Amino acid sequence: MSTKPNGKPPVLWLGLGVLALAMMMADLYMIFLYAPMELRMGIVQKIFYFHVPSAYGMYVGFGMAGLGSALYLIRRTERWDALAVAGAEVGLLFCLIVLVTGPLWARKAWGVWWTWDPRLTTTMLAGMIFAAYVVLRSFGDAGEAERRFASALAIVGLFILPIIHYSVQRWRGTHPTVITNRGGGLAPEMLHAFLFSLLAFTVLAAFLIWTRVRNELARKALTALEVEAAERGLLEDA
Amino acid sequence: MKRTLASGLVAAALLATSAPAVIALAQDDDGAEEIDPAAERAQTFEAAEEGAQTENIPGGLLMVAAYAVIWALMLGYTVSLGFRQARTAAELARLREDLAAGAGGDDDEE
Repeated sequence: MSTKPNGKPPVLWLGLGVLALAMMMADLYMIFLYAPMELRMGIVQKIFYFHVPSAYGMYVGFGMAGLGSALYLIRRTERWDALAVAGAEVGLLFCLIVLVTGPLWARKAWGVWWTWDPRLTTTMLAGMIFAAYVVLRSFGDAGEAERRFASALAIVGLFILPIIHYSVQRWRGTHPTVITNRGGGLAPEMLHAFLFSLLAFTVLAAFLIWTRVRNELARKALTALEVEAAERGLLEDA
Repeated sequence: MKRTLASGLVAAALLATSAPAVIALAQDDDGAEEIDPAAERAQTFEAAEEGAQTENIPGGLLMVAAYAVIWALMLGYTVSLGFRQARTAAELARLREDLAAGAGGDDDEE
């Protein structure tokens, strides 16, 4: 994966962006024209095809944040730090989508916008942890101490992901268990649309994380140049 | 300016993330009470004078709202990334030019 902060954008990165866009468009076809209407919930069930893959995108993003943070603490290289920042931000975006689309579905299915179900609560907790990480890293150029503290926070946040995942199986709650071992599964066309959606969101998450890594590395390069320019007394004219 | 914008975006993200908690707190806390299962069942049937008063939650509207939010968030984030990248690249190019010019000036002085 090329992460050069400057110069021409890598062809692979551009290709991934085009693929992500094409797959997201095709996903709309799969969801609205290929997958049948659900018997009991009706059209509101279509939220499922973006809600669950968004949760998966959240796992990928937060997972990358945890991985990048752990490797940064070991290696102390900018590249891993950039991956951690990118993963946390992209994961938070998908977490936000999950937390917005979930209540919209719940209003129809459960009659309430929100309930303190284990999965809902743990998802919101993960969102708060990584929101804290993003806030911490957004206050200008973080020093080494801030980076290490943020890395530890991301690793702590990583431990909540398996709790979110298994919460519907281990604890009693109201969240559906359609695609878990305890669930009854999906109709074949619904399953095809769902799997395609998962794939599309994987490509999208990869593209967004890579884009954000490029952005973060460029910002770090800019900071280094600013320091150099300041040392030479060139920043006063700017 | 950049920091103000970033802080604003982070504040908006935090606000949106904590929105479900606010919604939950705003709801009635009936669910927390011990309810007699028998009391939950209908005990009387009343005649409707002007049609049934059932709650009709518009599923289509909720679905449209969900997809609008999803696409707005994803497109908004992608566009913001593009702007950030373009701005950083422009700053990098300008600083490199300044540094190169400065280095040239230093050479001339020597």
